[in-house]
Amino acid sequence: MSHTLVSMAGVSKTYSLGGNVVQALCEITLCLEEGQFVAVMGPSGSGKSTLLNIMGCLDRPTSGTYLFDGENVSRSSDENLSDIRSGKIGFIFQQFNLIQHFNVLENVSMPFLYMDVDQPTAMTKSAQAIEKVGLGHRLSHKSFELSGGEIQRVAIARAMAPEPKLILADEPTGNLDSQTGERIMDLISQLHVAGTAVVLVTHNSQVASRAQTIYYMKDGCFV
Amino acid sequence: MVVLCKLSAYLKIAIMSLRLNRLRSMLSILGIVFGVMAVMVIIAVGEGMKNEALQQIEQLGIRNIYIRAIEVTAEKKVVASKNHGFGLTWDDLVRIRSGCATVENVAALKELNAAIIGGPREITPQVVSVTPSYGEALDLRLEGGRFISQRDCLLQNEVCVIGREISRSLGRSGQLGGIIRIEDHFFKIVGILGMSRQGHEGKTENIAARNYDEMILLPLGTMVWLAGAGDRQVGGEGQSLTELILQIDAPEHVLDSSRVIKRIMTSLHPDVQAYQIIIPLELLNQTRKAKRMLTLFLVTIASISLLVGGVGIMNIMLATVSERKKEIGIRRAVGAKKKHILVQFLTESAILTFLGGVIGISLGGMAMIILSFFIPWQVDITVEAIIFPLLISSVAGLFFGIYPAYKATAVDPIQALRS
Ligand SMILES: Nc1ncnc2c1ncn2[C@@H]1O[C@H](COP(=O)(O)OP(=O)(O)OP(=O)(O)O)[C@@H](O)[C@H]1O
Ligand SMILES: [Mg+2]
Repeated sequence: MSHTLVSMAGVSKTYSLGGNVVQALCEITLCLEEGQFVAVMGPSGSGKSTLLNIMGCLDRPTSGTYLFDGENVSRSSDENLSDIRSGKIGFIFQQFNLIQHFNVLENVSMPFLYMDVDQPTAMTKSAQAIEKVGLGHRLSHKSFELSGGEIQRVAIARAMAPEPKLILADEPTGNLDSQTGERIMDLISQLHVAGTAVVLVTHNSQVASRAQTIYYMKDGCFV
Repeated sequence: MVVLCKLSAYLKIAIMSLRLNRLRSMLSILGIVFGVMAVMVIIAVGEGMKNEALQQIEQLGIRNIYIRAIEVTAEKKVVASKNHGFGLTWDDLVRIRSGCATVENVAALKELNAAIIGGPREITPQVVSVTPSYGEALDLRLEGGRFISQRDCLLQNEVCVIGREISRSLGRSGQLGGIIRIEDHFFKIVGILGMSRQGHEGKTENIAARNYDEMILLPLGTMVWLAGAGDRQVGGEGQSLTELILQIDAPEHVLDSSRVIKRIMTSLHPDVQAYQIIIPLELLNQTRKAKRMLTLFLVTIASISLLVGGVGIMNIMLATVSERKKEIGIRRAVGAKKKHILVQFLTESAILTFLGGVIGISLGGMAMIILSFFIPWQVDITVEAIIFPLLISSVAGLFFGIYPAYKATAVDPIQALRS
């Protein structure tokens, strides 16, 4: 019997630009079990990234309650949110995933710098993760020497290396051709199989079909 | 252990990032480099200059007041000699002694223009005749023998006391008991002066200190003091003395006494002031004041270099932060707290300034070695001359690194990661 990892109740996010108020999320209610794999789809500007940011404790809801792993983080401090992100949540973005002038190993081991983990353990875990995404031969390549597909694989390795409970992927295949995208999705599916909860944002229904559940969004609401 | 590892990781990240922009990093520290260099040179040179001055003043004796004859024009000489006689006389000394109660001891010196026959080639000894009290007033030390005595002066003994350098350059005949020929008189060496307390010779013209290592002291003839007639021993300029030394009983009385002495001298020589009064204690105070000015100047230079150097670093760090917003966003997303970002960017500033400090000190050291060939006094590379600039550069670097580092923590990761 798995327990609830993400529990959102009436979560809203509004941005006020000058006089205008933009409702990016409105009254989202959502529950995610540990190890669950869900996809979020919807047109551009529907609030998918905003939802992911709040879920990943990068941002706070304007109103509503968000419990992550049983802890109410709706009003947590910046420091507290960083603590939760560190080690418990992994991010994979569409682009700008890596630090250009750092090599693969340095990029993948970056999260450990902010965790209470000693250097040898960090290096072993990072190297294992890189091995799993099939880049063991590229450890010391700088990230600007890598192809788009390889960059995303390094991003996956970095997200999974600390063994987080939740991995959030915002259009991870958005910049890739379908074949490379397939391989990236294979890796993400493996994460799910290994027991990590995954939330995937995508515009591609074929990509989304890998998930157990697909949520559709429009104007900040699930439809 | 973990902390140490993290520290080395931060250092590694900082160095990697700085090396990415090698030229820019080097340029950014120029201000610090030159600032540190300037401060270091100023400290070392100033310290040397101050020590030099203090040493000379100390040699003059802070309880002493000097009255020195100075050159005046021919017409003035005529005016002066019509009334009261020209130059410094024994009479002046006697009047001052009786007119000023705080004068404890008096001495006089007369410079002589006399040739030494068969003397050393490499040095030109200065021949002076002095009163027996001279040695005491100037606290001259003897390496051997005795100083000129009262008897020598009264009997006009043909004896002399010579400086170390002269003794050395004369070899055998420069020892005690040796004979030195000055003009057509033969003087027996009765004393050899000890090491002069002056650090090194030759740079003493500016104040009244003399180089005793190259001096020959003869007894000041009683005839000169009493009658003001010509010096019988060696051809002189007549009645005038070159220098009067008045030793005051206590340093606290020196300034008051100097006023009394000035008054007496003015009444004795109302027309032409053919003398100069030198008060070492006053010089000492002036030097202390000058030192304070120097320190103030130094602090100003230091603050300016600190400001310029620090602003240079701040400028570059601000540019770095805005260029690396993506990196900051990624780091924040993977769990970095604001304080981690702060430490990362502070580390970079600190490395830059430290590097600037080290390069500055190396260049400063080289500059001082080169400078030491051109300036007469000793250049001391003191510990302060190294620690002080390094300290201010580090403080400047950290201080001016705080704002860019703070800017880095204020970067919103969501904004930074949006395309
Ligand atoms: N910082 C912000 N300030 C103002 N409005 C914002 C801000 N961030 C997002 N929004 C607005 O919130 C809405 C949702 O944005 P969001 O980025 O979540 O959309 P999305 O579904 O991820 O779109 P896309 O598919 O293009 O990535 C948009 O209308 C957007 O303009
Ligand atoms: Mg988006």
